[in-house]
Amino acid sequence: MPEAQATPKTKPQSVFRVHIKADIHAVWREITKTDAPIMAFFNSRMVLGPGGLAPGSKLAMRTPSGKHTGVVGEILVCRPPTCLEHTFKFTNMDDPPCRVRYDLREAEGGTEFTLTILDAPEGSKTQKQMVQGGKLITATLKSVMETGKPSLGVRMIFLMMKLMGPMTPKRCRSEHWPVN
Amino acid sequence: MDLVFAALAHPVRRRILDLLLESPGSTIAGLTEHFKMSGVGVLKHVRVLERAGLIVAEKQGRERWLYFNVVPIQRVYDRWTNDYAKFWAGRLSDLKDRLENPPASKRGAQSA
Repeated sequence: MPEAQATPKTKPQSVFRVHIKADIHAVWREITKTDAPIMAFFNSRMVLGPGGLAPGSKLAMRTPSGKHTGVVGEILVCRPPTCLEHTFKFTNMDDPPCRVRYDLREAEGGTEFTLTILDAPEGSKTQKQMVQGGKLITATLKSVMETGKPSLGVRMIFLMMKLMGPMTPKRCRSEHWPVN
Repeated sequence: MDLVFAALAHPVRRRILDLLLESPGSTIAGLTEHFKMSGVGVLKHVRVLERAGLIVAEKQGRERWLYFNVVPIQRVYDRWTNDYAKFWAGRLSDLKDRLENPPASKRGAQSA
């Protein structure tokens, strides 16, 4: 049974919000799908442990090929289609995990989407990356839901990531980050 | 997008965004310390920024933690970056055509 409420309120570090002209269930599906890469999440494929989206279940964000894993975490809260919260750790950094929370709310004929970042170590690489990534994730989700594709700039980032693939550190190989 | 540009047009509101970038989660009281105006005055500016989506408030008891939501600016950037990219692609294509096929009739108009 998913938790009824988000974890106790600590002061968020960053909050990103956007209104999306799309049904809340469609937005929820987009950020939780496991059958195709999620363009808003830097074209990562979400892989879940045996528990699926239930709290306690592990998750990994892998490259479309599945060879590398950029992020791992554990589901903390899942209340479809309004709230998903999980721990978040970059596999190429030694920083401890932070938390991300996605809140969805029906608003003005669409969905108000809020991405909140919590507990990233102050001044860490993780914090910097999360703040950079948060705005791109939020803006890209809007683009994808409303136009079917990310902006040109984000598509260029995907291309760069693909080109940089061979230089990905060995520690990011998916065999080191199982979700079972 | 009109609301975003209107909100950014005022120096006090730009300063508020700077302060929130430096200290995410500030309160109205915290922001007011940086201005020679009342809390009500600062609140009015914050409301304008909230309507434009540039500030997101998280309620915590009687306090409101304020955050700079950079997404509307990212959207502005994306929109014009893409359009400029198309613009320059078009200009370069025109330049290639002109250099490879100089129209004799336009030579006299080059200084225009």
